[in-house]
Amino acid sequence: MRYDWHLGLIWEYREAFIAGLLVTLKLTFVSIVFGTVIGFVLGIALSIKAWFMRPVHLIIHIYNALFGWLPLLVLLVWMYYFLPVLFDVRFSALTVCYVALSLNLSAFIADVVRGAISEIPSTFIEAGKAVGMPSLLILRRIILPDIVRIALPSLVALYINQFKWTTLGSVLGVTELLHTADVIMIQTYRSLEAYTAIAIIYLVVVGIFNLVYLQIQRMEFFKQRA
Amino acid sequence: MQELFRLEDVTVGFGSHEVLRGFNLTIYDKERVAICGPSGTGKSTLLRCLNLLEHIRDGCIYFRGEKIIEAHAGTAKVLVNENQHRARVGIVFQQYNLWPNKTIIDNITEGPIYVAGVTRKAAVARAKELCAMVDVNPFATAQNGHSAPKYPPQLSGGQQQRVALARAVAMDPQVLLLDEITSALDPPLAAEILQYLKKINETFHIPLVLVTHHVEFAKSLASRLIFMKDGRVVVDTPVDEIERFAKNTDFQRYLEPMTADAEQATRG
Repeated sequence: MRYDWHLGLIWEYREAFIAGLLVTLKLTFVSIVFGTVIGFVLGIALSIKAWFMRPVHLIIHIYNALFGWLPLLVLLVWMYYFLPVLFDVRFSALTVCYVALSLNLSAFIADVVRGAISEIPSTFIEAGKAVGMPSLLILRRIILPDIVRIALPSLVALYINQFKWTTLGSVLGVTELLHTADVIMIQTYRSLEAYTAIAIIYLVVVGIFNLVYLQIQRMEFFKQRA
Repeated sequence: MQELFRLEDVTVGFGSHEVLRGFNLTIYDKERVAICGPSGTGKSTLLRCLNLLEHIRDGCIYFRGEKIIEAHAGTAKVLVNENQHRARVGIVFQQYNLWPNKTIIDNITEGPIYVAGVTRKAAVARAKELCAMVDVNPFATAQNGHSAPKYPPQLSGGQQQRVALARAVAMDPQVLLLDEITSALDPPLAAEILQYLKKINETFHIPLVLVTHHVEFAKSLASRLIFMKDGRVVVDTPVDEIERFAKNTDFQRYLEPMTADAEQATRG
């Protein structure tokens, strides 16, 4: 079977594709920033083994279950459609996407960070104490750099997935890349061209992510010597 | 002589096991005290308590006449800023505890820059001097002629321990605690460490408290020797009067199997 490609269509809608890509990238980067910051705080909090942290740990575990165990699609739909019903608060579809994507990512990053901290030998921390470093300084100068070193591959995998998860925004009508293709398809009945175009865009962007990752990996800082 | 550390009725332990019980000891300024004794007798624990890395369960410890920690029935109250105390009381560990992901220079300058507030330039200059003193080159010359900073795993065990010494000295501590710093090294390397310790001692005159299994090592460095067994001080003597205790059975039994080994160590 031969398919009659209308590639001109992609050029015709180039501005829509670019706009969609920008929304996708914005969703990705904003949620990565918030998800990472929240995830690091939670992961570090989970690693503090003190009796007074017990209730905090319980709250974090519930948080992780809620935002990490729920499928992202369920979380998005629930927040968008049922929060207004139950609590009379209403957010735009875009805001819900930002929040749900960030919370979901933060739950996974919390686990990654906790795992990375458990791999840091206690002697590193003791050596810091021995020269008189206060806890926060040990965290900043010794623990944080090692978390980043140890967790980098897991974090990059999560970040690349995050880019792909943004497609779920289309369900709420956020005009990210996938929804852009939907709209073009409805207007032109040219689904194959529209979806092929975005497939290529997704491939190229993930390819760029991976190239950047390879460069970062080569940096002196990320070499693990332990 | 001015008093450096005073321990009064100190009890230390983990769980139901008490390592030291009702322990009393005074260490004076300018002294080089070696603490010897069989394993599990509380020597390292004692050292870690002086640095507040571990807390006592009962009794109190004074540093230069100032009470730093006080404990009753398992509840300890630290009376000084713990971090400030650790900054002035240097400690070197058996397993060096260098940060493998930081360069040699960074390992040494971390404390001076971020704790003591020394400028980076001054701290790095000092670190280089100390590296020269312990004969460790913190830079490797790459094939293209550029020098690249070295990391601890690129060094031998003996070199790593010397860097650990330099790191402790870089903080200009008022006393240096050495926790079995030669135990992870074979005798020739241990003897080497001894030479560097003597050099550091001659240059900076920092009082030393060292825990060691090597009596010969202790004898050639220390001014006072303490022999501990089961959490008690069995022998406490100036090093040059050590012969007076030759008849003490506990001490003797500990000395004998070690002597041959230790002599070898000092000979290198």
